[in-house]
Amino acid sequence: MDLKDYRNLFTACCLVLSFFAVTPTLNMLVPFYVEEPFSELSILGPAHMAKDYPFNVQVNSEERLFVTVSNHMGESAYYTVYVKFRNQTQSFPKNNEPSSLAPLYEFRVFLLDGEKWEGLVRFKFLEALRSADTVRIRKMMINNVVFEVDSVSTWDSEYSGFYFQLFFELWLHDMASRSFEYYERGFVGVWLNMTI
Amino acid sequence: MSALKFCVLLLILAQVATTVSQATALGSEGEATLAINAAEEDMAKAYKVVKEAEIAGADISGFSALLKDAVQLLAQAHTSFRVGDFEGAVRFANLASEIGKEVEAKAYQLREFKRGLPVEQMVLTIAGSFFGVLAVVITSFLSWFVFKRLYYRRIRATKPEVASDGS
Repeated sequence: MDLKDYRNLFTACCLVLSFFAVTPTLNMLVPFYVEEPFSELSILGPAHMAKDYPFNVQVNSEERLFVTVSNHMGESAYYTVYVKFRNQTQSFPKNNEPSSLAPLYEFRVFLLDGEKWEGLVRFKFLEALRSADTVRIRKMMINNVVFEVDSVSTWDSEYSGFYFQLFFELWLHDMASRSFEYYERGFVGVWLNMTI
Repeated sequence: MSALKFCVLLLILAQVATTVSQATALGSEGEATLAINAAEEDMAKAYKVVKEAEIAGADISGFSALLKDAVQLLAQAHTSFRVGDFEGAVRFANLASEIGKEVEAKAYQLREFKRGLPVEQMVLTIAGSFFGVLAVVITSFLSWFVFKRLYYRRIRATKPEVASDGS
């Protein structure tokens, strides 16, 4: 190595060390790595596993589910989880639009970044009437609160059953509007076959 | 005749009772609506201040438990309202309001305290970077001159001498 090579080596070292010295300022002005923020809504079966979800249900038989919300927004977040109930023809949430049905029950959750919340949903049907090819559910109980639902399902000959759906919608509080807004694709649910 | 009067009196009494009960029910419902709206407002304010404190760099984990309790109470207030338990709705909403106000007051102080700090931190960071670069450049130059001098000295030391074979 001659002197010119050594000079280049010194210059390179000087530049690298200078970059390290400037890094905190650069990081303050332009964050190097920004993770895409997201929230997560999911449901688990009675054993805290993604299986054994309730399906065939009967009157006065209690079923259990766990609903979970995870915050990966990079900051704290304030959520509402609405619990809704529908038959096969009633409004279902879409990717960017919630169901038009009124919620029965709701959870409110405040989560710090990276936190996860899990809530127990115990539900049972208290009154259901069956005629020839319809089942009408009049009352159901969610976490010990009784709701009048009055939902009718007709016999589904393709899947052989009277189907209803218990579903959950995730809403996120927006500071600017000071209200909750439906979180895009924030829904999840279970189909229930009422067996009478 | 007296039987007819008695019937009319009964009808009037029934009407009055119905009107009074309806008015009371409406009053309770209205009261619950007001309480829930107030609680929503208090929670929104508390959340806003907590979030601003968080953005300012404060550790808000201390408020987390209180806010969790408050929002759960507010959810219970809504559920009670939906099933017609207006008294319960008012009770839950008032409790949520109370906690919301408490959180807001505490978070406000923390936010104001932390808001002054980012400017100081920014100045310190920029100054740190500036002096860091200066130190690196000066050290590099000094090292380079020392190295160059040593390099030349070594070259001179290893310079081959002209030897004479004497012939």
